[in-house]
Amino acid sequence: MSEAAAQPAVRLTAVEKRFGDLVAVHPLDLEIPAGGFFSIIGPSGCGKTTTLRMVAGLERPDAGTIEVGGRDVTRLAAHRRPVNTVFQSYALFPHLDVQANIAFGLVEERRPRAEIATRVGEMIDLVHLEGRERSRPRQLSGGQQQRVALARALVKHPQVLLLDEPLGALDFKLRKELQVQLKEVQRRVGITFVYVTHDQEEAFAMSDTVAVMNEGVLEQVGAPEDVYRRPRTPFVATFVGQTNQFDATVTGRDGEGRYRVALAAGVEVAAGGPDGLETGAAVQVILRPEELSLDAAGAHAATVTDVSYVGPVRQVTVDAEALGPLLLTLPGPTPVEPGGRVSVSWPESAAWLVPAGER
Amino acid sequence: MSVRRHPFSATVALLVILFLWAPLVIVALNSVNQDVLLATWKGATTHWYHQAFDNEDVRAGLRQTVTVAAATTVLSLVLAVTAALWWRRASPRMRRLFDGLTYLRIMLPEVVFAVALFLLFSRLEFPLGTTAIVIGHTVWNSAYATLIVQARVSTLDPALEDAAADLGANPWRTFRRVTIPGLLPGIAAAALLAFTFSFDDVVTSFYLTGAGTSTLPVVILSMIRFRITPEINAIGMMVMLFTVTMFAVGFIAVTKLGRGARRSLALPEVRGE
Repeated sequence: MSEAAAQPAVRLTAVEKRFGDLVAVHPLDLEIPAGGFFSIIGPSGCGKTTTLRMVAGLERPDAGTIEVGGRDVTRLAAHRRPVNTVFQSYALFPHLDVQANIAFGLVEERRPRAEIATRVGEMIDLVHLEGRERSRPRQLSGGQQQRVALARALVKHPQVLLLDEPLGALDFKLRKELQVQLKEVQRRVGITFVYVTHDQEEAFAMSDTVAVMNEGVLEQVGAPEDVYRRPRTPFVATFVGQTNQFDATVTGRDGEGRYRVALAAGVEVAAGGPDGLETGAAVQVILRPEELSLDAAGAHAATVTDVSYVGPVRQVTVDAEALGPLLLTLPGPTPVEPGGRVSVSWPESAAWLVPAGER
Repeated sequence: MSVRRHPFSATVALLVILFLWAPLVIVALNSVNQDVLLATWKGATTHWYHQAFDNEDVRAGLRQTVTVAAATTVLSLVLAVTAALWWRRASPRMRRLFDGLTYLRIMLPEVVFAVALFLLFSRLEFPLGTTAIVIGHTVWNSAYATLIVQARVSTLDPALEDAAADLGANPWRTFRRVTIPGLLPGIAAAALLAFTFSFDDVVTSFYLTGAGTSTLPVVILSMIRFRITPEINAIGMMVMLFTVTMFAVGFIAVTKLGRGARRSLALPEVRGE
């Protein structure tokens, strides 16, 4: 059993997919830990949906192997794989009512009628669709359809549940609600969820682990906070949230993972970074807007150029004399106005280095 | 917004309606007219209907027509559904080629196909008769059926079949439980069309009947050539009634199919209501 626990739910080894001349997924290695909420994020066309469909068996990889629960399923047809999918369009069967949609997969397994009835009933309770058993999909709201799609896949007790942008078609408020529900359902059933989305905020809110993809290449895999605070590539840094970036050169090491860098503007700052950066290496300094603060004794003099209110925080754009434009998010009411003279500072731990050479 | 009625268009519309329906009304009246010469109205009778029913040629013709129409419908549907499903995944080039061939079968005069098949069958010493007529009817009826099923296929969301496969349905089960129900309205409409087109066909049937039993339209044609009897009117009325009934039944079936399909495919009463 201990061996099974160490076994990843899904393992992709050198998986590659082309559509004609277009390389959708470059050779990709990925391990998805069992029992967690795993997200694959990236801009549209980055290969995340293709990757998901290859795990589902709906696309055939051109090279590489796919394992689910330690078993090689690369050559297995979709209907024989121990995974189920919640589709972006939900793909509910329009000619079947809610309970028949949910029962579809169990009928294919030739389960006894009594068992089907019990399990469908459980699912209807789990996703709160009591009273809608006999409704047709088109009589349901978007959120309800989404829950039928979820129930229809979960009722099969798959080893892995694949979700392809399942909340993409819903409005903001409903999406927030369903994010919470999805996460709760995942905890209750304990099935590995693999969630594909282009919305990094959504992924961060729900996931134990996120993988960032771009142009068919896996850029980084890690815990959300790790990916956010310690991005490995400039793409990851910009894709997961807002950022201030500066081109810089490493001028020296201050110990394990600590560096001194010279910004292009001639300013020298201290920053954290991955191990093994050489002196003289071209890097980018990443500064998250919420790490910056306005401080009378700050090191960098600046002029406020814009202040905008974004819900609970305000975004302040300043023009720093040595650094150029900077974006800050400040909590609460801060008495700054466009044209005001301020100075900006940040804790040394806030700056993070990304090798500039890598994509 | 109101459109001004123009007396000219109203007159034309009236005339069109008159010319379209007048013959039918006359046929209907004459089918119950006692006057053998059909010159004047001499009171009502059901005599011609009895005579038509008792005419063995007419009865055999009707049987033959129904057999041919049913076989043509089934054959056309199988071809149309198969072709439309292939067409969905075919390359654009093959699609264009296929569409061209389909339209050709509709545009070319029926008599061309009929003569061509007649010559071909003679050459191959393939016997004329029921099978030959069915093949002849299917040549162009399957084209109409294909167009209708194609239209339905292109509205089918491929994600539904992905979902079925994902839920454990093998290709055949996916076809039966998802594809066919999705195509059902198109299939029903195509069946209706193929059946009625085959039912009243003269040209193809005429060439390919051979020495065997003629279909009803061919029987009527030969009866008229010989002598116009009031019986023809009765036969005409009955054919008309049959066709209209067919369409009505078909229409009701199509509109209710959704519910019917659900009943046959869904699980009844998973939970008590």
